[in-house]
Amino acid sequence: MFTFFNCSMATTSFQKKARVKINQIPGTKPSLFNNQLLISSGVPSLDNIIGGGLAVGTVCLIEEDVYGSYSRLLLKYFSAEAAMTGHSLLLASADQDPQLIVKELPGPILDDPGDVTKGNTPEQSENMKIAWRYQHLPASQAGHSSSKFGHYYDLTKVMEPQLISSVNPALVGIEELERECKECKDLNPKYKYLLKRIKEEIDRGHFSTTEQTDKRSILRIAVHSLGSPLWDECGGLASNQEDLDYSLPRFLLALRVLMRSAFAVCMITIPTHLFQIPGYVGRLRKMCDTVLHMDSFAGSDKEKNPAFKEYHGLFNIVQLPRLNSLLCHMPDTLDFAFKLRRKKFTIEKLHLPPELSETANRNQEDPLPHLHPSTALCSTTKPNKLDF
Amino acid sequence: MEDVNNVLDIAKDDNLYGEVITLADSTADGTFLIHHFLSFFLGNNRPVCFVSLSQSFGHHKSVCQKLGVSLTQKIESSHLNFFDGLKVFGNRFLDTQPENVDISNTTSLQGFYKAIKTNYEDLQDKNKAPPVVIVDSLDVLLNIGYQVKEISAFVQYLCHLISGPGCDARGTLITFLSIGENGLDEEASLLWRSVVHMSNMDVLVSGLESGYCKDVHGKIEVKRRNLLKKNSQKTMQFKVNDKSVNFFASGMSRAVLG
Repeated sequence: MFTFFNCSMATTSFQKKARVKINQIPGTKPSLFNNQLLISSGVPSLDNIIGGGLAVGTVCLIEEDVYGSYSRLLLKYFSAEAAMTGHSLLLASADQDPQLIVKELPGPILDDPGDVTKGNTPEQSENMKIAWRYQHLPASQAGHSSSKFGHYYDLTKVMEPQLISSVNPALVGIEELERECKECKDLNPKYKYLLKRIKEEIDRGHFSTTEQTDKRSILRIAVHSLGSPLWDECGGLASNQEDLDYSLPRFLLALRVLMRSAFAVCMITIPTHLFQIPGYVGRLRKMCDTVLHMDSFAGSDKEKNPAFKEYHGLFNIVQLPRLNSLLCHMPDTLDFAFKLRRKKFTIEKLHLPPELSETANRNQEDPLPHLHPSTALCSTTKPNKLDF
Repeated sequence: MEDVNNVLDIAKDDNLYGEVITLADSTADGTFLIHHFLSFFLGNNRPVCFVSLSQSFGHHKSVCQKLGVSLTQKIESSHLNFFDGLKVFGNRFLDTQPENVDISNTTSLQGFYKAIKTNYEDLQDKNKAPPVVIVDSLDVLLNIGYQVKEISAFVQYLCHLISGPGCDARGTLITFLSIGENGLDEEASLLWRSVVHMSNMDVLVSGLESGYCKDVHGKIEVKRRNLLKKNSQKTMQFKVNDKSVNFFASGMSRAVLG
């Protein structure tokens, strides 16, 4: 169903607003609100809640959950999306070998109805008994999957090595960081080296906005667990344990300068729970554009709370960027929850289950059975067990 | 934006000569105030020396265009001097040499002040009206390591810069800073209080105590030092739109009243 909605939007609102040149960058789309160029984060449910996607030229900060597993998963989705759209990728991690992270990228689900490789028009017109209004629209965006915005992945599968190597990702691991970083008094040497590497990648791939190039693409920069102890970061404290270490805000400032003049998006995860100085995390947030916070239930007593039975953690929008307009995207709520099914990771509004006690008299009749939620849309031909 | 002027008790043709205004935001985004002042002064043909430390030129240009002011045109006509502080300070950590600003000293902002002074005097020579200095935003300086003492000395130098000899030759100074969640960031609060001490009017934009709301984006508190003439304090709630900001008394939002 999702691909039909996507292409109906593409043929109606976007073509008029966007300039032709920008439209030609695969894997991007202009924002509904302010014509900002957006890319997918790799998780379509996340794209929806932050206003369509991540804006090109910005830094997205993910405040890690305590064990870091879900934030690492988000980074994997972000990196996998690079392979699907043909964007370039730079992945840096001091805690894990980036080669390993890249080997574990989730495999894409290629058999949804919008895929051209399997598209058979007579088969599809049969499917449209319900969505018959959309029958006259093209079955998917013209072109192959690299022009589609946002893909779905199967966590039980691993992305094929050929697909990953087609992107030719630049990987920065702990050995390279330790070997190449040079003494610096302004800034933590590892951060300085990372900045240098990012600048090199931007220059090498001609991603700078000042450069004219024929085939425009986007550089995705994924930095895993920046500010963890392996980066020689002491929770914001300098080596004398009294003064503040300004390296991380300085890094973020320099990163912002690099991003604002490049066709690139940076996603960083920071274990902010390791920074105990009051107000320090607030400063880090101000230096980034989009800030999201993940809070997993693993190991806490929230795990046993029946209200959170379906979910694996809370997901909050802390900050959304205000770019080129007076207003930023204002969602209905900032509090969401995420769940990790066997194959999929989704972020949704927190729905508390209804309070059902033994003696409660529940009315089983649904007064408007044909307006049931979309999951039942495709199966209204089967009798609904709840209908009397 | 007219509504903002009403809240701040500024008339459309007010000169604000010699005034020092401090804008601050804590849990909500108050940067619309900067764009308001930019468009207000440029619309009144006052020369502006805009020091931008947190956003790029493109962002300011786009927002001001929505408010009806073309920044590029104002630069060409010498009404606006845009100092790209983001690039200057950011490039220091990227090992790119800044062009004509001496910020090699990590503790003193003197080099930075001298550059702004040169731009201010340049605008003063080319225009009749005394220039306005707008600084966005001071917390960037705090974040990258300058001490509160140093930054407040910098603001004091700027106050001195705008106060010329005669009554009409005095410029205006507007500074913006983000102080983060109430009281959590001690240094930022300290900086804010010391800058407010030097100013005539202090505006604080904060989020609602009850949390995030899509229809009421926050509340704005305006305090004036000039007790003899105007109201000394005002609090209202607001909602930011694409090209304007709506203000209303607390609890009177259209969304709440239905």
